[in-house]
Amino acid sequence: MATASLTSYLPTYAEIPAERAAAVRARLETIVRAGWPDLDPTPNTPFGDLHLTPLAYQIAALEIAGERMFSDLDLANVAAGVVNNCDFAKAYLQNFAPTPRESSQASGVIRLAFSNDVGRVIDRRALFAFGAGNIFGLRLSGPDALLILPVGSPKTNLNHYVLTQFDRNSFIVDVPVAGIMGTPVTAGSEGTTDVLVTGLVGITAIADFLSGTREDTVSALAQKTRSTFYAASLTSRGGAVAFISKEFLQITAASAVVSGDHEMLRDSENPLGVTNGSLDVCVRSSQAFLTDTQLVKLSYNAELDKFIGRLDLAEIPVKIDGVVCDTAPTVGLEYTIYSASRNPVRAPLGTAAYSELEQLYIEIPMPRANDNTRLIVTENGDTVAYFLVTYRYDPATKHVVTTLNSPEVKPVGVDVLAKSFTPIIVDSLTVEYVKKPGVQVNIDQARQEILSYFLKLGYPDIYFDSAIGDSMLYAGASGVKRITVSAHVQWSAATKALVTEDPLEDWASATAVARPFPTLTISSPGDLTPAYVDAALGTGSETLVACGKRNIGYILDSANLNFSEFKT
Amino acid sequence: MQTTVVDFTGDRPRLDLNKRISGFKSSAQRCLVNLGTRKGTDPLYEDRGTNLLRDAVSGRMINANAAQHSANFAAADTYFFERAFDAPGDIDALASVALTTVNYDGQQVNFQVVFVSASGEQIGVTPTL
Repeated sequence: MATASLTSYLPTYAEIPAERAAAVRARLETIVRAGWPDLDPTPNTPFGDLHLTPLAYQIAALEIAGERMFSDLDLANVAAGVVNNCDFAKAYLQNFAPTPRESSQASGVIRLAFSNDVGRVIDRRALFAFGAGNIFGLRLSGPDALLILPVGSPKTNLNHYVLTQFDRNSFIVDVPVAGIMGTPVTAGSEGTTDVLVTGLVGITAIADFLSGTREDTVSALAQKTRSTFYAASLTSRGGAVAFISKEFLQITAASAVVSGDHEMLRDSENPLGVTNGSLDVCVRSSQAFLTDTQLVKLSYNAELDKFIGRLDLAEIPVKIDGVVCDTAPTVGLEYTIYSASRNPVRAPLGTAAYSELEQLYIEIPMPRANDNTRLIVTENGDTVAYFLVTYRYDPATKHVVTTLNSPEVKPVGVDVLAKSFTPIIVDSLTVEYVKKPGVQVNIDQARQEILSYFLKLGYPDIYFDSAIGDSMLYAGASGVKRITVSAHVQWSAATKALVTEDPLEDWASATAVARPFPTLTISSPGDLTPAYVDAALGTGSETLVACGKRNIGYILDSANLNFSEFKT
Repeated sequence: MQTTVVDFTGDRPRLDLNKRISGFKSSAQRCLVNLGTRKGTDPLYEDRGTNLLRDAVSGRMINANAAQHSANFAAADTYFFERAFDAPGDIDALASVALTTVNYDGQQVNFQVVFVSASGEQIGVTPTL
């Protein structure tokens, strides 16, 4: 309840401006003259000097106290950092629920590791502890227990989490949690649980836990309230972004693509010609991107001389960094990753990319030496081999997916799909700068700022050359002569789209008709915010990819960022 | 308008809560208070008060002429300050303030103060510094 005493807002005598007191005294004098015409209220009289003037100061103080309290009710002032009573302002903001109660809890994602690939049921009331004072509960979309299913099982319930093989001896599942965090829980922290789960061999935090609402964010909270107050629901562009911002404190960029945007290719018309509402929510968190390496078992197809299989990763991958054989990591592999939609009706072809609806497959030709001998040893009677897949992911994406699938928030009539931003992979960015003689340019500082800038970019923040210029100026350069860039749009973590249902039944036929994603390269900084729609749209080779300012993000690695001094 | 009497006859001014004055007498009392108030001590009214007391204690009244100059300025300051509070057409409004040096011996100075109202009523006292 937001209550406050006016006395907490009263100014001291020194804080009362003389002009304010004089104005109040003049008003009081008018009242006295009107009500008590015989009483002399002017200065130099006992009544005027000994009563009216002190009274004017007191009334001025009350007026200032009132104004301060009204100021705390005006969220524009609070958002600008003008807060007179933080406790009252915070309590008042709770009336607008800028962050739901459970979101103000600390949150994170834990990885449960099991020694075998069997289904399990974990009571939703299970608690997970990460040191003293850090207690977390499961954050599930559905009302039932947490159901962990064996590898490859279909999900038919909101609380179904399917195991993925992590290495030869363990199977993992990542689950969101929320709770109380007394001390920071960092990535890699080992936890314990109060429930007995057979085969559970590890509980690990995959990323730093977030502490929820910070104490020093009254003005930030007010800003969020003003921007989210109008409609934090998933039925409109602004409402979806507002909902995500409210629900997930770790999201640094959120953008909604709706029916009618050129980036939206999921919407369709029903037989009556009415467009079915679709909404894609692209998100990126402050923890993007984490890197993980996971063991994947692939079947060896002797006829095709290839290793083939589903690429079931624990998280939704944004970029596959590399694949090596577990038993022969030094052998170079040529691999092809294919994308298929788990639900072609909701998200056909490329529209499923970077979402939970995308199913990846991988094909690796058997590497052979010049004399045609195999460079990889198969196992299990020449049927399988294990490969280590290194990939990048944003831990928040799956968390958002879980929440958006909850029946409590799922909007009626709008198909909402959460995904990561479509990344533009910057292969090379060179900044040619100019500096004055004798001046040191702090390249490391500029590098960190530019990398951070690209990482945080997301609509409505779009790329500007001036941001790089600013970073160079702050680093000591006197100017930027030229920025050269080489980049390409990565439509999916895969390079081709499969159109066949159950491609593993006849892999050769399925891949024969697979459609390569189009190539869109960028060679000028001005093109770093491309607007593109699949050129083959409507033809037999369409892949339904599209990009624009609303759904693109960037991946720029430090090794691809170069600096060069331009000698004048 | 009525006001409580300020008794200046003792060693320091006192309020006489049993007595009231009104009309031009209250105006004259206000003027006396203003004459003795140091200018700048009232944060609400910058023009209130005079520099008469400051000039006296700071050694600026080096002779009778200088004392008279201070007195003249004090009278003018008081006149203009008080006139701002008089209603137009008020017969008890202040018409003039005259402060005259009547005795100066280097250690003490006496002034004769005469207040004249718009109706011609005259009130005069002799303060001592």
